[in-house]
Amino acid sequence: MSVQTTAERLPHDVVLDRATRLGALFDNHYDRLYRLARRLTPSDDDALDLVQETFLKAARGAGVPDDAANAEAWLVRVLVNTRRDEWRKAANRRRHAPAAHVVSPPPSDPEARAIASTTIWGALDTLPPRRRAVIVLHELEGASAATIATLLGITSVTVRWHLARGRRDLARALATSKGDKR
Amino acid sequence: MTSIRELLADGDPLRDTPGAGAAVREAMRRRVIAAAAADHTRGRRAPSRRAFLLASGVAAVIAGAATVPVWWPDGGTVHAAVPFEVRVAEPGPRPGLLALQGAAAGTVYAEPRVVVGNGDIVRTRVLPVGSGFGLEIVFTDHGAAKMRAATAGNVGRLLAVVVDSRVLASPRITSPIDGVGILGGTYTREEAHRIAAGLVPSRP
Repeated sequence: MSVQTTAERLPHDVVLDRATRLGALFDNHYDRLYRLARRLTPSDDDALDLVQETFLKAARGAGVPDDAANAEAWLVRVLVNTRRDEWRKAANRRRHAPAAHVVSPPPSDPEARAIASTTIWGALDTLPPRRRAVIVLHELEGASAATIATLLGITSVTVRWHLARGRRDLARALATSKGDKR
Repeated sequence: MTSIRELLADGDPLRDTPGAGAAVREAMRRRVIAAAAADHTRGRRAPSRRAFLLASGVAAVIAGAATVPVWWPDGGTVHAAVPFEVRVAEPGPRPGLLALQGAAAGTVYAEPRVVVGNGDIVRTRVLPVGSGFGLEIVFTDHGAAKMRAATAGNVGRLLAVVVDSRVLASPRITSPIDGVGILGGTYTREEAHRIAAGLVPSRP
């Protein structure tokens, strides 16, 4: 029986290893990344693009940690940073485009709470991606500031600052919306 | 008083759409792994997720379609209920190109050479796409290689997707396309199932 050492491995073995490892990474973290991406982007297609781009970056580059917790943080960070890059490019395009229409809920909608919710999500769309990620992770996923800090690779102080600024922006959007209706 | 957290939870997009379908997930998994292998061996750029999401304006009526022979790369003959082929195409006429009619897709002018046909399909699956149903089409390794080669060399041109002798969609090629395609989004569930069953050839 012949024993193959790492040094003797053929290229297709290495490819197979990479595929197995990447498959496991995908299986372990896809749901979590999709949930976050869907809440960071305006559509399902955008969310799927973002998730795929994140995994492709993992596929292309070295540096994904081996242990699950650090791998998750690495992927979340890449996902949020990818979204930030997209957001900046879109912001540049918006700068040279006519002012966008403010999307308001249909006047026939009878539920004030539904209107407020629509307004909040509309305002969330305007937040910078990292701030939006902090709000989503804290308010919707119930993550603590320390957990978010680990996931995003920033300090807890910065997390709390983003939380405060984000909440203030959302509250302001809500107040403006109520003012408009009067 | 409703809190911001409650308002966010009310409008959470995951409330109504808890996640992308298993087929979409599996297709993405394959693309990512294929990209990793391709990057390692050839430095090839990964295919775009949307590159082969073919928005179709036409729901092909194929109920009761007769079984017809179609081309098979090994030189033999296979039979499939719904003829399927993909060709590289142009929006305008040119010598040597064939005019292919489509309803919503309009007329496109396709190369005589078929890139992939029924014989290159290994399996199909119905999945929800947008407000309707579409088909995930998985090509054989040989078919995927042909798609990759044809699309890599024709970025910027059109891809005519012909189902049941009609151009169902003619998306522009934006990047190399690999082994999985998703068709449609305008089918009812029943239509999608009929097409899915009809596309896969029965070998003699």
